[in-house]
Formats: sequence, structure tokens, C-alpha cells
Amino acid sequence: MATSTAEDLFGRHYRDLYRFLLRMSGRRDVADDLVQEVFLRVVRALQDGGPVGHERGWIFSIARNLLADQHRRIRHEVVVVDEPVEQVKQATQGLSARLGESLALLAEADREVFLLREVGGLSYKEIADVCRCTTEAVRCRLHRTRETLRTILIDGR
Amino acid sequence: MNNQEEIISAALDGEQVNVQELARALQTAEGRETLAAFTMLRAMTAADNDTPAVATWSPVTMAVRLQKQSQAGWLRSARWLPLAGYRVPAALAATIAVAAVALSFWLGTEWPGGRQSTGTATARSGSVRPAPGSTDSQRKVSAAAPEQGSTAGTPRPCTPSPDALTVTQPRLAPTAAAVIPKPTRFLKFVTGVDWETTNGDMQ
Repeated sequence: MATSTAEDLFGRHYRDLYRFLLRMSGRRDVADDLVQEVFLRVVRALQDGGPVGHERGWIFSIARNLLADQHRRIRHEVVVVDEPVEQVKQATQGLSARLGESLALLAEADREVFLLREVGGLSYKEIADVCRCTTEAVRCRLHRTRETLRTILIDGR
Repeated sequence: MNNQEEIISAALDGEQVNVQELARALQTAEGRETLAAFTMLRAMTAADNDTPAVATWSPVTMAVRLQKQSQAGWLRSARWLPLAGYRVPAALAATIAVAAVALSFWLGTEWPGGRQSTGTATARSGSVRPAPGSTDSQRKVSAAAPEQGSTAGTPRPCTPSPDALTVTQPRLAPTAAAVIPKPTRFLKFVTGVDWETTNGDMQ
């Protein structure tokens, strides 16, 4: 039945989906809202006909689209200020905070591909479908992102 | 871009790579360091165990519950009424009832046996019974008002006869059930009156 499928999908994917949205948005409240919205859409989509293709890729695709909408909304709401924004660097940081900071320094496309692979567990083909690019582009971006994070987190440069 | 590091990155993700090139990449120190660094990165990301609050997913489970209820369909939530031994939706039963009433009304009005005479006595519809003793010519009286442009010949002036023709009530069919109303007025038609020139004035 479609109802049990929705619950199963939620149970299987909501944690990884939340982590993906949290690292992409950088905000817990935004991640909370988007997770809810994603699964509400999943429930409605299951009533209509069910997922198209791989379920995990489909759910992350919905999340990605909602994230893009969220960014567009925030972009329109932001008031441009001439004063420079002071960046605060925390001396003692947990792993989570360090990782979050490092990911925030990446370009959005690179961060997205990295999180879809490491958090979402999608294959290169699925990532290419979600991001609407080629598998070669996914491969290249992943390698570049790993090199950058390695430099920041491991080598400490 | 280091091609060997890219191959190691893809192999770490379980993608198809050239095995010989992978072997060549791992034979170098740089390749092995790259593999170790990428593996550590993966471990750091996996250890990032942020989970959503309970309040995040409770609305979703509520939505799933609502979906369960809605999937029951309108048939389950509809009220069922027994009708002629069958259970039908209340809306359908109401439609059938209204249709039955309309049909019975239509049959009642259209059925010939159901037609009823009004029984109202009018001068135009009433039969004219000549008064006893009147001649045939005197009986030829039109109960209707004189028509304009009528091709009938001009009335022959004659002296009014004391015998008057009265309009009687129409004879009703014996099966008529309507109550015959009492006449409210009587019209007296006198033979030989020139309606056109005299306006009916008695001379």
C-alpha cells in the first residue's frame, strides 16, 4: 500500500536527508522545514503515482529543488548592506562544526555533489540525474571537492 | 588535475575504473596518502551525526496518517442507507427519492385520467340553452362578444323578445370530482339587438 511505503521511505531516508539539507543550508531551522516539506511532497506524489526512478535519488531531487527555491526566497529577502560582514572564527570546534565550516567555504555545486555522495549515498549516475549534469562532471567535481576539504581539514592549510 | 587521484576517488565510491591504472596509482606514496585522506574524510562525514528534532518529523507522520484516512476514499466515509434491501450512499438515495417524486407528479398531470375540469362557468365556454318557447332564429345567438372585422352578416334589427336566453352552467361529467362553484353573475342575451350601432342599449 502507498501509505506504508511513505512511512518506510520516511524511516529509511529522513536522517540522511536532514543531514544533507543541514549541511547545504547551514541552518537547522531551514533543514527542519525542508525535511517536512520534502516528505509531505513524497506523500502527495505517492498518492498520484509513486516515485520516478530510484527512490533515494527521487527524494534528494525533491530536496534539491526545494533548496533552490529556498535560496531564491532568501536572496530576494536579503537587504544589501554596505558594511563588511565580520567573519567569526571559533578556536575550539567540534568535528561537526569544523566540517560545516569547511563545507560552507565550498562552491554550492561542489558542496551539493559531495553531500549527495557522502550523506545521500547516491551513485554517480544518480547524482548526475539529480544535478542534471554528466557523470564525468560529477566525478571531476567530487575529486576537486575532496582535495579542497583534505587541504582544509586534514592538512590544515 | 591529478588523474591518479581522480581514479582513487572514483574507486572509493565504487565506480568502475581501470584496474591497472588504479594499481599504478596505489603503488606511489602520493596515491596511498590520497586514499588515506579521502577515507578519513568519509569517516568524518559519517561521524557527523546531526539528526532532526522530534518536532521535525511528527508533522510528517501526521501527514502519513492523514493520507491513510484519505485513501479510505469517499465510499468509506459516506453514509449508507438501506434501500430496498441494498445499501446505497445517502446522496444516491436522496437523488432517487427526488426523481421518484418528480416522476409521480409528471404522471399525475399527464395521465388522461388524472386531468380535472375546472368547472368554472364562463359565458364563452358555456352552452346556450334557448329559453323554452323561443324560435329557431332566436336561438341563433352568439354567446361571444361581437368580433371586429367579422365576416358575418350584420345583425338583423328586430324587436327584442321578452324571452331571454340565459347561459346555463355547463353540464359536467358525472365522474367529475371537483366542486362546482356557484355562478357569480348571469348574462342576458336578447335576440335582435344591434350591437354595433346601439352598443347593446335596449330601445
